[in-house]
Amino acid sequence: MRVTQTMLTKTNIGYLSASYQKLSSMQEQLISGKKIQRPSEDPVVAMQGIRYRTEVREVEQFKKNVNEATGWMDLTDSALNEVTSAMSRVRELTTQAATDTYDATQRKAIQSEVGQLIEHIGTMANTKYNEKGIFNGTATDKPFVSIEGLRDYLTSSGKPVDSVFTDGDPATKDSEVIQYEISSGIQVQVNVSPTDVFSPETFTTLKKLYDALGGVSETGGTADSSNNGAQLSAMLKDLDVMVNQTVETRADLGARVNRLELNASRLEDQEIIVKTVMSDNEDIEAEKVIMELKSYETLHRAALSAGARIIQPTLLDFLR
Amino acid sequence: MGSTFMGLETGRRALTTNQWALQSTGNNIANAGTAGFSRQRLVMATTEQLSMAIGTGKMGQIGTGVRGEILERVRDVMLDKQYRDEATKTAYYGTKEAAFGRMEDIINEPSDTGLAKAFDGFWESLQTLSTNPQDSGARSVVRQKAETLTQTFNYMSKSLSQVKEDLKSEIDVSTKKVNDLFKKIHNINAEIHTVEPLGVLPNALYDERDRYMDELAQYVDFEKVSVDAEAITQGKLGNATKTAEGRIDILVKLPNGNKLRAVDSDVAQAGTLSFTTNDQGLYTGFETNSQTISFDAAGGGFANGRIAGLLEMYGQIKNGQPTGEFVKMQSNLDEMATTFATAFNAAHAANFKKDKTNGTDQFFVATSGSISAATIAVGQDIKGSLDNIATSTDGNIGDSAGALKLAQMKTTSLLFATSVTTTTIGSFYQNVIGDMGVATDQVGRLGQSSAVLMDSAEQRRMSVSAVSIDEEMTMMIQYQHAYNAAARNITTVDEMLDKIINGMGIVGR
Repeated sequence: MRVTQTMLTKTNIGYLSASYQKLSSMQEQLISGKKIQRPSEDPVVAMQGIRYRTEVREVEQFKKNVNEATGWMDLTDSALNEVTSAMSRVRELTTQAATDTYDATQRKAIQSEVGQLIEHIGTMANTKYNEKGIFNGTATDKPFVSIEGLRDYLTSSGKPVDSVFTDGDPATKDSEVIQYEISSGIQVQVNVSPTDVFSPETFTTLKKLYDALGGVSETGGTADSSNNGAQLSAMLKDLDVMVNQTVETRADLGARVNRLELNASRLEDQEIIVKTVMSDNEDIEAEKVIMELKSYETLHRAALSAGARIIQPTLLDFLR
Repeated sequence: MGSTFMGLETGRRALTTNQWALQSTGNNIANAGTAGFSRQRLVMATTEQLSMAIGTGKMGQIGTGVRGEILERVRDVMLDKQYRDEATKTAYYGTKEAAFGRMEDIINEPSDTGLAKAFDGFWESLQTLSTNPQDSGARSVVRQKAETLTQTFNYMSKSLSQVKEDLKSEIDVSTKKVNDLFKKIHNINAEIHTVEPLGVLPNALYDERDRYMDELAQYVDFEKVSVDAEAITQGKLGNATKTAEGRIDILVKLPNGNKLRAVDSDVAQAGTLSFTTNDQGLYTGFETNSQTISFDAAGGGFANGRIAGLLEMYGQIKNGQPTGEFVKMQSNLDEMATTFATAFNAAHAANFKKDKTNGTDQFFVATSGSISAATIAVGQDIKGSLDNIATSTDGNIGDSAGALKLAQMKTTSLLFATSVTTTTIGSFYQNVIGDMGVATDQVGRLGQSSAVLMDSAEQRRMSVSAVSIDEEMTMMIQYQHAYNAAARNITTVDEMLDKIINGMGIVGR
């Protein structure tokens, strides 16, 4: 084949430009740290890249949701803990008062302490997490127990127990479930059924106790409060039921927290896996790219020096 | 016995012929870098032989020198055809690749700024809202992320439209260029036709015409037909030499094998190409030399070349349907916007607001007409008050189930009516990106392989036609020596004559 100068020049330009193209792609990869810049460079990597990125963000969001749920449940647990200690204290005081050596004045003093404790239990029912009432079903913007109503209910007679609650009869609140999504498609209930702890029965029992301490007979008539030890003793049973219910609710909550913790650790694992997969999919192996860059650099130098040598001399250089 | 001065004439002929050969060499060297130049050769031939008595009773034919037979260009027409075929394909794929590249730039995936990210952000904000439904901060973030999502849609649609406009003006410019080339080739045909019958080869005109055809090959696939070839070989065209190329007609090739005679030597004017469009600006057909071809017809449209590439990217009507990569991408985005907005609006309307009334079904609205990628926007209700974001299923503010349902719109399978697929918005989008990536990759690869073939055809063509300085130098030396020798020959004849005229018959004087 007849070869002319223009052909050599053209071939050289062609190889140089191909070489520059390759070098520029290496440069892009090294600077961005990514295997591809455009979908066409590897459509599969691009498609999967989009999916993995979404997965990473999902896992991160679910972790946030788990944190929120944990915060809510931890607060619920500590509120229930306080309720339990308040109830225990009430029981303790009742046992104390049931001793017939106590006279009316002493029982009156105990009554006032019990009154404070009942009010404290009422306040606990209004515990808020991030401005959200945690014991009021889905109506998180309102308090569960009306403290005013509770006071009235305790001190005056003949008030219905529903007047203790802001929204009246709390039975419907049990079905108002608040669920957080903690993993794709998996939801967990974060709130507890309020009447498991703060049921109308609880407040009726407490009211009865309060009244007994103030000298009201079982039938509602006036009784000699220095002489009703037996009546008080009989109430201990009801108080035990109350405390037990609270403890059971806490146990149930604890089980849910456990499930949340398991889920959280699974999310941690998942995050590592998804991030690894994403990185495998789209990140470069720097050492590999650098090696490739080196070898292309050598080729590029060869092309340059070959061009410089071949293109220059013509017959003209040797004619005199 | 020949004439006394015969040697002088032989020498003169050699001087003249070699001088022309040197001139031609000089011209080759001068044009070593001229694009499309074919090296030229002065073909030399001996002048007529004279039968003479070269000895007693012996006859012989004695040469009388040299003459320039023909000054022709060295060119292989088959290689031209190969080169142009590949150039057409390379331009076709190259054009598509470039346009796809711009599409990829706009879609910008995988990245932290694309549509996928906007969807993820919106989903995240809804998830956060589901854990804090009464927090107005969380609501505000949802509104912000919804704005980001709609604006991303708007931006992409608008940018695609802009590129489409650019493609349209490229089509216009290319059409002008093609028409200009048709005209130039037509004019050169006329010039060639006036010169050839004189027995001359207009090499420069041939080169120029080939250069225009090379250029034309970038835009459309065509076939050239030599109209005078027969006339020349049958001696009908005056004294035209047998190697004359004659006039050339340009036939634009269509996919169904039909050809449109765009440059017709028998017609006074060159044909012009013009396109017809429908009311949406999509191309429906074209016409040249009063022949109209609709893209809708079987095999309508162009097979290859830059114009075909541009049309396929911009959009044309085929089989009654709009086709075209940009049209397709825009309709995909539109479908995503419409499907997602409709499903989301319905879910939102089923939820309750704080005041226990149903949420609006206008969470996403269209700024005008129906919802599409270009028109999608966040509704006035939502813009007006954060309380209008309905997140509850029972009317109580703390109920997060409604917000979760909204978030799950991203992971729920939706029916994409136009594409007739039921899938999640995410995987629909992934498919769109995948398709685009594969299509771009494919035209890139095909473009590369046709570029390789084009290069090799060009190399072969250059191997035949390009000027080699070394070769020209060698020829120059050869002609120079031939010239010197001829001059020397004349001197010798001169000396001989001098001897005869001035030195003879003066013996002993």
